[in-house]
Amino acid sequence: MSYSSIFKKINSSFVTKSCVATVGLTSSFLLYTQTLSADALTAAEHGLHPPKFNWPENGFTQTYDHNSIRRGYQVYREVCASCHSLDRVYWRNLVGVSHTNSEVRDMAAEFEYDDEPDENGNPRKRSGKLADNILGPYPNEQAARAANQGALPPDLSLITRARHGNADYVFALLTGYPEENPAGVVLPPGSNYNPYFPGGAIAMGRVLFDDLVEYEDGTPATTSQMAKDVTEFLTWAADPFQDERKRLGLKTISILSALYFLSIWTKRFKWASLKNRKFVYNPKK
Amino acid sequence: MSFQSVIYNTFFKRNATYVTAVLFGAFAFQPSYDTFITRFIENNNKGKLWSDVKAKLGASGEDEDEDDE
Amino acid sequence: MVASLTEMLEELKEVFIPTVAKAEEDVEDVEEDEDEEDEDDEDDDEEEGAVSDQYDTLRAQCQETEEGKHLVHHYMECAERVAKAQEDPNYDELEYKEDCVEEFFHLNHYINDCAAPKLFNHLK
Repeated sequence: MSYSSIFKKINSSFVTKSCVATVGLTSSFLLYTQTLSADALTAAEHGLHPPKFNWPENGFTQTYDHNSIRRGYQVYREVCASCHSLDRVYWRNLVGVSHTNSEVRDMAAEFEYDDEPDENGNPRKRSGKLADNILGPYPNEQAARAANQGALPPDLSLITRARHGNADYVFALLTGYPEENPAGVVLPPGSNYNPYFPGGAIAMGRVLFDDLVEYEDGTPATTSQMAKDVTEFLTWAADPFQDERKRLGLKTISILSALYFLSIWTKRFKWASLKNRKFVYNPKK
Repeated sequence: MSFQSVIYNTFFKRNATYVTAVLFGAFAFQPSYDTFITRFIENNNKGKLWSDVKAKLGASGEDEDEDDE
Repeated sequence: MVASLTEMLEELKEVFIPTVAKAEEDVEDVEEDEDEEDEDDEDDDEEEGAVSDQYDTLRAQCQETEEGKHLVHHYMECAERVAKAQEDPNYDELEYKEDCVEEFFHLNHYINDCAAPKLFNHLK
């Protein structure tokens, strides 16, 4: 007896068919009941998507707003830096972007770094210089967690590149703490509600309030102004070469597209005589 | 003599002048096109650049170091 | 000949740059006008209370639109439902406790899309 005939025999049997149907229906029903109680894949789980803001650097030829970067550094220093590090940014990076050389030297000198040990091997400290990175508030992750009830404040060097929604997300998160939590939301102890944070419960509380910092250029320090400036600063920190990249990109693309069309024209020019020639055969009579 | 024939006779007619023109033309073109693009970008972003920030700082009486980038 | 080439480039620059600069100036003027108007609006607001956040002002305006009111109504309805359920003495043992996150998201999604594009014109 061949396999196909066995298969036909079994397949045709009513018992087998009903078995298959029962298994299928039962498993679908069980899967369905799970969806009734499962908390996964709710809207809260994903977080509210941030809207798109008109960043100064949006657009093919638009650079960062360096006034904003300068103010944003001030906000970072006075507000964020008490919890968040900025490990991958070096003092020298700020020179010629938001601060002058002498300003950055003074800012770096306020921090203490490990120096080479003296001749007896005792550790020494020195003040910071341009080649040092910006020091975070905590010596290590454990210290950071211990100071923040177990939650680790992420390093901000690349934060706008490391989250869905990039700069929009950071801005929305900073300005998005509602005055009143949505009804029925239960938060774990020590956390705050923020709709943009996936899951909704974030350890960081609202930190930006109107007139928290005083800008040197007299800009009114509203919450959204500070959030915009610090986000602009962090976007620059995560992507410091954007201005130069856009300049070079414009240069390269314009030249290459000109050359591309030139090559098309040359090809057509060179081939014109070949494409237009006509062979005529006149047999002798 | 028309402009075109002047061009042709000075640059294209002899290989030596042609190659020289290409070579020096490349050297002249690169910086001039670079300044053109840079100026375009700077015109497009007036008020947002570091030079503008620095100018404001200078106005408020900050002393400047020579080796700013 | 090099001189004529550079002249040609200069002419090219002249062709491009002033047009761009002009256009930009015009745009800036328009923006400044807008800003002035906006500032007037904000001044009015400021007279009523303390310094108000630009984003909050815009969001409040968006919430007052028809669509915004509609969504607020939905949210309030949900909040009422939840408050009613919480009055139940057995609330803690309930198997399913409703929350209003979805209604809150719908409302905020609308307000965001309404307020966000205008916001950065009001900021420096």
